[in-house]
Amino acid sequence: MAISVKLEAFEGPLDLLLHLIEKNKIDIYDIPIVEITAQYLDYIRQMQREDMNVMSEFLVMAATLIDIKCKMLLPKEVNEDG
Amino acid sequence: MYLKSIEIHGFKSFANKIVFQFHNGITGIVGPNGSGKSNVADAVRWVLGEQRIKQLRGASMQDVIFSGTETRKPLSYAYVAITLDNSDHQLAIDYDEVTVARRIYRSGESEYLINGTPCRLKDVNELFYDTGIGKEGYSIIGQGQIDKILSGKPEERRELFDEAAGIVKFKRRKAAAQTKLENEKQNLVRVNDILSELEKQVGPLEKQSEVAKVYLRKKEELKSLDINVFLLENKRLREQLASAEEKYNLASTELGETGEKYEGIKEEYERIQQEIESLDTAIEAAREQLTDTGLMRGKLEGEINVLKEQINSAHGSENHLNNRKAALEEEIAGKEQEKQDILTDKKDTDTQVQEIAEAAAKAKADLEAIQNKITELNNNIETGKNTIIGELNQRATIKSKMGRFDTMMEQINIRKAELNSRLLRAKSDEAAREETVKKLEETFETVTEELRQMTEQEAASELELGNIRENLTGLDAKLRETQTRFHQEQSKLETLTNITERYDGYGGSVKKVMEQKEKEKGIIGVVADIIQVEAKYETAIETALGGNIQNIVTDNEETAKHMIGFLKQNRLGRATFLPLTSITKPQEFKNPEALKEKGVIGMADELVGTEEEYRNVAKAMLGRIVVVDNVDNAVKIARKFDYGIRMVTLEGELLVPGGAISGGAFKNNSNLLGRRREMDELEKKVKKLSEDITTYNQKIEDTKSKRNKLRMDLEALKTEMQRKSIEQNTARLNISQARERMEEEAESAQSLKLEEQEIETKIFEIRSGKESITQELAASEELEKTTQEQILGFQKELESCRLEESEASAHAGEWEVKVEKMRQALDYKQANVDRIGGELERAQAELKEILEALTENAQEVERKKNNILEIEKTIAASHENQDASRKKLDEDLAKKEELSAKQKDFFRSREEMSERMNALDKEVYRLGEQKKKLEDGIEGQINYMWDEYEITLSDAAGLRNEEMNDLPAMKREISGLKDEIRKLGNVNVNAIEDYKNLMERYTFMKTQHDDLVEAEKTLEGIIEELDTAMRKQFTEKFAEISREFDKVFKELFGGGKGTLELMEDEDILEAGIRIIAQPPGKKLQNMMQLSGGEKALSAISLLFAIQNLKPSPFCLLDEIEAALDDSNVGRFAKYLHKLTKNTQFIVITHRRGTMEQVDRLYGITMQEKGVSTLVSVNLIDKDLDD
Repeated sequence: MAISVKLEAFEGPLDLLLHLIEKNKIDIYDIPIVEITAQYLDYIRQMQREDMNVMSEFLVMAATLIDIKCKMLLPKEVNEDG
Repeated sequence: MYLKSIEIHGFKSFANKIVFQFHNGITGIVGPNGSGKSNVADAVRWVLGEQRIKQLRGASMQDVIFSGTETRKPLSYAYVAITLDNSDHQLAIDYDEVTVARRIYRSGESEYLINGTPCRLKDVNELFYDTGIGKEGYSIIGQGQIDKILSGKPEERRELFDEAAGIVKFKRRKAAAQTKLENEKQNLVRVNDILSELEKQVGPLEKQSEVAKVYLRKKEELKSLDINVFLLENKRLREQLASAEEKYNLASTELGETGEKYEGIKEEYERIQQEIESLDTAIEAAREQLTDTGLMRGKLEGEINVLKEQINSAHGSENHLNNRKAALEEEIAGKEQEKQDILTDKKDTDTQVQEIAEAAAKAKADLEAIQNKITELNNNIETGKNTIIGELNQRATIKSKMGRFDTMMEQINIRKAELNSRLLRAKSDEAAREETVKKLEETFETVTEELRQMTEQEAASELELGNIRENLTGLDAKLRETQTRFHQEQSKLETLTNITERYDGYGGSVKKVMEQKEKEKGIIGVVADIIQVEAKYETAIETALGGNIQNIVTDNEETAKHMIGFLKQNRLGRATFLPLTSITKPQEFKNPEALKEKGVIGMADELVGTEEEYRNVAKAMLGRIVVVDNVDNAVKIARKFDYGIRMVTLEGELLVPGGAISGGAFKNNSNLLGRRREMDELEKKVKKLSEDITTYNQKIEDTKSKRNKLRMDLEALKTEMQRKSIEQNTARLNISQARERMEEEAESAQSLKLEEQEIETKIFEIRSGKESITQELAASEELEKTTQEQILGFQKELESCRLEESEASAHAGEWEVKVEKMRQALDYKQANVDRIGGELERAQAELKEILEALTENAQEVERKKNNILEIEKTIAASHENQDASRKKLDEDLAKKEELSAKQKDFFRSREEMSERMNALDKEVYRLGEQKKKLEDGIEGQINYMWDEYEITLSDAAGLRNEEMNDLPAMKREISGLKDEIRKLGNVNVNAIEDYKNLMERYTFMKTQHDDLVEAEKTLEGIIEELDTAMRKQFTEKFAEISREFDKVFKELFGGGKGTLELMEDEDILEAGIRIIAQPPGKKLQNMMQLSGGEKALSAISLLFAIQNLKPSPFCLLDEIEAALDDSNVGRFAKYLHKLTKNTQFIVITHRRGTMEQVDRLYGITMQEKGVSTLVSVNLIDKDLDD
């Protein structure tokens, strides 16, 4: 299964998006995760039955995105005392 | 579908290929602990794709390959295959029989096969998908699962259920997601920190920014207002100025006009005044005339009276006159005669006068000539003097020229002196410079010299360093060599020592025993110590003795046993003891005849020396050994005596009874003593070498420190050299610059000299000029002198002329006197003539008069009569005149009256005009002031605009707002604005920009943060959904399991009750699971409170329950009933039987109860250590009983 998303900065399967972000090909700041989750929820609604497999897979990916984005927001670490 | 067979080869303890054949029902696999029976379960697990090596009780996957034993080599691969009957085609494959195999090589290569065709693990998994067969399912149940259930850790138990409910995968993913979210939440706290830090700044900055904006806006407004006020006021002021100017001009012109008028009036007034004055005189005149006329008439009337009287008197005079007439005529005749006489006398005198006059004229001419000469002389003197003055002027110019030359000379001399001093200085400077250059050159040379020496020193040091380096390399090489040798020798020594102990079979052990000699008095010594041998028999005897040479002789067996115990206890190796008590005198040599054979030397014991008490020992050791010279003889003897004799040759061959022959030679001629010696030598060598090493190290150390010192010195030298070369450079530069300087100075000296020459030529020129002028001067003086002399001459001449003149003038005087006298005489004569003439005339005149008087008298009377008539006429005219005059007078008076009035008017208007003028004057002044004020105002405003806004009037005009017109309102607004601005207090204009930047950053952070929070929320929602789904699935499955559990429990416990409960108050997904068991007759209680056996049975019930829910075609049970007591084992086995309807069972067990219930039995043992083999069950039985 490939969950597809359609955003301003990217269009395609979610795992590709994740890969591109990890390779620094896409700026995560340009990715509104809320949008992704919204699209996912639509997708789920259309399926009309809950597929735990899809759900859990999406969960992991979305959480990864959130985690990455949040990390990016932090100030770059400076070593204390060198 | 059922399991037909399992083939195992090289898997774990199954070194040999083993095949288990299965049928329906229960097959038991039994065997003692460690026989490898559980490996069967592992094998099945493995072939079904188990990847977790721990599950297979190994460390790495290769550990499953048979690893060899003491007697067996390891195998290179492991292979397991299971064959299933697929006649019911439960497996989705087109075969009636399916064999799944897995093979792994030592290299780590691994392969799966289905019916012999290689395939992937995935294919295997897919093949068994949903059949319940597989490493995960409950087709293989081992002690592990039981443990999980019995685990104190609820999560382990829990996992079992999750697995059964099929939600493990989702739970794991959920956990992963949650971990990430957790992580993110942690970080979000930090993001929040930053956000709140930013927020803290936002508030105040925003306020500041707002204030600043208000401030700027107000400022702008203020500016606009200010400018417009300015424009309006400027306009107004300009208008006012224009009107003021107009007024001013008007007033000015009026003032001018009024002034003119005033002047006119003044003139008019003057004119009238004059007119009045003239009228006054006219009136005066008229009046006088009137008076005069009156008077005159009176006079005239008087005159008439007088005239009448006169006429009367005239008539009386006539008589008188006639009387006189006669007297006179007489007199006249006498006089005529006298006159004639005198005239003749006079004629003579006249000629005399003529002569004398001529003489006088001549004298006068003489005088004049002399006087002319005098004037001429005077002129000459004058010109001479003028000449002298001219010369003097000439000489003044010459003298000034002279002065000029002198001055030039002076200046030039000064210049010359200066030049000379400069030249002198230049010379002395040059000398000093040369000195400096010399010194510098010396410095340069010394530095260069020093440098050269240093270079030499450096080269020397480098050379020495090179030597030292070579030295070091040499030493190092030697050291290494020595070390190498040391290590070689040392390890040789070590090995020897080791070996001596280990392979000698004794060595160390014997030593150790001998060390106990002090304590153990029973120890006597080693065999070698108690016998003596001749050299030629050494080899033979040593061979004969063999290992016995080191046997230890003791007093009795007890000692020997004790020492053996000692060796055993301390694991010190083996030793052979010869207790004297047990050493019997051996049997006699059975073949004494052999001693007579060829080559026989004798019995070995007889060739050996020893003390008597040990003779037996020697006998025992050597007593039956014959010493022969060589092998051939020995072999012959052996044959002859049917290999019954133990023989030894001098070369060391040994022939043993029974026919064995030992022999050969060693590479190294070595014996025990030799070996000892070798070790000693080695020890010495090692010691020596280690000493060498230390000395070498010392040497190297010394050399190195020497080298380091040298290096440091060299380093210092090099820096010194660098310093020196810089010094040298400095010196060189200094010299070149000094030389340059000298050249420059020489040039300037040269130019000085040139100048000097020029000055000399100039001096020469001046001198010649001066000479020529001196000559001129002399000439001029000469000229003056001569002129002076001339003047003197002239003056003398003048003197003499003057004398002459006076003489001449005296002469002329005398002559004149004479002339005069003559003339006087003439005059007297004339006078007498004249007197007589006069007397005549008088008489005649009187006569005449009388005649005239007579006529006149008559006429007079006539005339007077006429006069009277005329006078009467005049009187009449005078009357008329008087009337006219009176009239004129009246007119004049009237006129005067009129003019006076007019004058009075003028006076008033003049007053008025003067006032008007004053007023105008004031007005003009006022207007001028006003104009100035307005201009100043305009100026001030323009300046204010520039100062405040740097705006010119034209700029301002561009900013005109046509709607702003109400000045007072605007001004009010301005002061209001100013007040407001002041009220704003301190304003930070930068705040606007700062706030913007901050807000950008804040908004960015905030947006991303909100995105995260939002997304997090939705994800949590999704997690919730997932949980719900999972809960649903779990709840369903759990209920099923619970029901089934109760069933199985009842079966296994023979009653009672079993339920599963989820912990209350917990999430179904995480809740611990309580297994509630009620063995028959007991209270319902938590399984954990049961005894071990009951627990195990409950666990088994649970496992069966789960298995029953989804029965797999076959099931392998691995010793799961170990903890049960025998009666429970029985029940367990019985229950198994019940299940065989659906499932084929393979049971690995060591419990008899189970075995008894089994349809078929396989036994597994390890007859050969480490290798499992299939055996008959009988054997197993026996094994199990031991």
